Amino acid sequence: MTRRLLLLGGLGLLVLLLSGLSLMAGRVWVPWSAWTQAAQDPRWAIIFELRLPRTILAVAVGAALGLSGAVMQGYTRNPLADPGVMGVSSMAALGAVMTMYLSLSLATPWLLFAAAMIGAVVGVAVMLVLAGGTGGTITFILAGVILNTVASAGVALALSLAPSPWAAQEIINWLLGSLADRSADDVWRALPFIAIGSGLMLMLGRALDALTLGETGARALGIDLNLTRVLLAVGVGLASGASVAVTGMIGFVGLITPHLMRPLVGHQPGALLAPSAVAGAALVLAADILVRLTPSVAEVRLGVAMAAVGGPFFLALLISMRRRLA
Amino acid sequence: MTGLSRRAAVGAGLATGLLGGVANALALPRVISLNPCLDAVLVHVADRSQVAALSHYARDPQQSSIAKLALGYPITYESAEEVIALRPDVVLTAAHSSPATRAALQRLGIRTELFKVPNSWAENQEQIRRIARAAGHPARGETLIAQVEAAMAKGAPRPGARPITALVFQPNGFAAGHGTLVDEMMRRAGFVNVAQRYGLKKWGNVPLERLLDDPPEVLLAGQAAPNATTWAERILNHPALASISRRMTRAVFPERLLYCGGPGLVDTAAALAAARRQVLGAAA
Amino acid sequence: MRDLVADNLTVALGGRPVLAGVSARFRPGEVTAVVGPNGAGKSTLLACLAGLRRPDAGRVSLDGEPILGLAPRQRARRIGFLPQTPEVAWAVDVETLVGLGRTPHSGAHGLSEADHAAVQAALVRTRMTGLARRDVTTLSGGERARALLARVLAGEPSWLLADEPLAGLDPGHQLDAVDLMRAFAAEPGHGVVMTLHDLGVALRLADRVLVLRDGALIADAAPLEALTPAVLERAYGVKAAIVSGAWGPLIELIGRVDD
Repeated sequence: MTRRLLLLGGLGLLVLLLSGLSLMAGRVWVPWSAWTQAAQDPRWAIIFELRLPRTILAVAVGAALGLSGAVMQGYTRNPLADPGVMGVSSMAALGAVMTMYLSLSLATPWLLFAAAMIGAVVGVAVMLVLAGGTGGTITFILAGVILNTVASAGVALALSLAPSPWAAQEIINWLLGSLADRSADDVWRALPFIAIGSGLMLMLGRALDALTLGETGARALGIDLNLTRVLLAVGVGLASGASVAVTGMIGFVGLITPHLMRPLVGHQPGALLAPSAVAGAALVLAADILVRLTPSVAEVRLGVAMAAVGGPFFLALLISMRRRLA
Repeated sequence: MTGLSRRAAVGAGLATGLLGGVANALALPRVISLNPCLDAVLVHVADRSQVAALSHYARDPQQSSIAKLALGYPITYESAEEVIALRPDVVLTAAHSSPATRAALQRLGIRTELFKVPNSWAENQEQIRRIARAAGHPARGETLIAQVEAAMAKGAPRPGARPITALVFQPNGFAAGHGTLVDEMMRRAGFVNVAQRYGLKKWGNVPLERLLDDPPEVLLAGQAAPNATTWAERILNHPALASISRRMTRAVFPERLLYCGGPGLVDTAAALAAARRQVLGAAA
Repeated sequence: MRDLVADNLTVALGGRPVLAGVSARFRPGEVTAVVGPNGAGKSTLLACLAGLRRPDAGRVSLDGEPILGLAPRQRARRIGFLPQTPEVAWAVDVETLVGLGRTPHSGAHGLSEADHAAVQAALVRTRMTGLARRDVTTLSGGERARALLARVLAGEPSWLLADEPLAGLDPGHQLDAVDLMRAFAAEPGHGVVMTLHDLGVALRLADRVLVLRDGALIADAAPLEALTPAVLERAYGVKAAIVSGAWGPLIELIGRVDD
């Protein structure tokens, strides 16, 4: 237990350090004088209005995605699952893409967020209808596949029917995922949903542990799998839906964060939840800092930076796994 | 400090920065443009000292009609941080740029002007006038408009001349249909845009097969870049196009003319006139 | 009465009757074996007894209360269920696996002192203390079966319902498992119901035997009275004789009965 607390403490410290770095990193160098002469120096606005919300969002989104990944892997008993398996992220993306397609978000910027959340909620509702009741994990996964297929088709349709090449470009850029220029508005919109969703997910530890013995085993241990499924669908839906709504699709985090934590925490799914959340936050923060510091032309996409940060760890993990199995 | 007063402080800070920072006349606003089409107009209507930055696309010869000129101007990569640091009075943005950046600028109280994609010369004129007003030089806007109209008049066919069927054909078979600015330019130059023959509404890709099946008289084709390796660009040099070279003339129409209005329309008019001459010989 | 009672259980799956009006009373202190050919409904019966399946008709009561009326946690505290094909999804260590058996008792904050004590006791009973830190996926078949049995025992249930607990085990390990279950049943208020394929074990080591065929109960008595040649012929379609071996009765298979 103390080992767990030590790990969480260490990861928390890492997040804190990276947050500090995140406030400093960027194309524009903001000297210390800007901090002290806040009223006179408009570069203070860069720290406060741009980098601070961006940092908070990186932590929140990273935590939401890391936690969702751990929950999905625990529930499906499959280490290759990620939050996207549920199909809610795609549905949220579809909602956002529709507003861009109809050019609705020009006048009312909050409309994109609202549409994405509606997409996520619809996804959760459909998921529960299709896979609720007596359905098991397989039905759950299949329902996710259906949602993913429909949503991807919708996005592809919107792209092909886009009224102009610029509209299509805007949609593609948004889909690739980014934290650039997010403001405090985005933080206020997304944070409540991420907080509620994460809270629900953190309650699933006991059920996920029991699922180690399979669905029958878990039920034999007195776990109400229907309730578990509902809590999971709503929790993952709200948290990852809100994440997609503000940043677009950021992949990779949900998949690899639990894998990175398993050597440190063990394989028990419930034990992985909190560490995956904090580690996910650290990962997204680190990737976002990398994005801002790369000397390339346009901002490198967050997903690419994610692969650059997480990829080497993952590779080392695979190599050590192969050595063990050989 | 509440959020409102903080933003007021930023606005005040920017204003003080302006008064303190700009060496030239206080009346002329500092302008930043975040879009290559708006860059081209801004450069023509504003003083060099007024332009705090252009978009980084302005230096790309494939996309911008002022590529060489833009080398002498500062650029940004269209992020809110860079814009804030330059303390502009007004920022020119286009409809499909990053919504987050626009929202961030608005939140900080920086004046932004939003421009949609112009689908006609009338719309484009309004935009030019708006940009000129924002830069504090309305007269230069009228001058630019007059220049474009002169170029259009120069490229216009004789009254009663037969309209020639034409199609714009860019990398990937990308073409402009009815209701676009390019379409109007083609009409004024004496062409009939036959994009709808191939099922196009406003913008779209024309499959090579359909083109070969029913070619227009003139193909306004883009040029593959010197090291063209992308599949999209190779289609411009597809051998199949050579097979219909007797029924269809191929004229040069650079890709960058497709996307913007503004001063680039002068080049557009010239290119279209040249294409017409090419088709008809001397009897244009 | 602390009995586990099945009353007229009827279950149909996809139109096919799996259990047809099965009634039986299981008393504490007894090890009951449920035998029968494949598809006879043994697993279904066990699932109904454990409260994991709702019968289409009839009901199961524990201590006089309907089992489906209990909250899942309450039910899980009193009934320990060992599924037929136990899966272990993650490479946890044995102690963690056994700790899962405390789920019906533990809160959301991990295992308490009492939980740890129960886990240790279960590890001792199944002689797994030496393997407590081992990765479950590296255990042999017999060790794994013992670990899973320890998991059930750690929950300190009153009833142990096991579906084919001896399948795939070496004879030595089979005997170990049966000894454990007999010891469990000998404790006051405890009972064991298990489904079996091995008639020899049923004959020698069970206190009572139920024979199912096509969802119907065709025998419910002490082993020698339940596993008569007539019953065996009806259940399995084989001719058999019960002979006295040096260490107890044996079933000798003679041949098939042409149906």
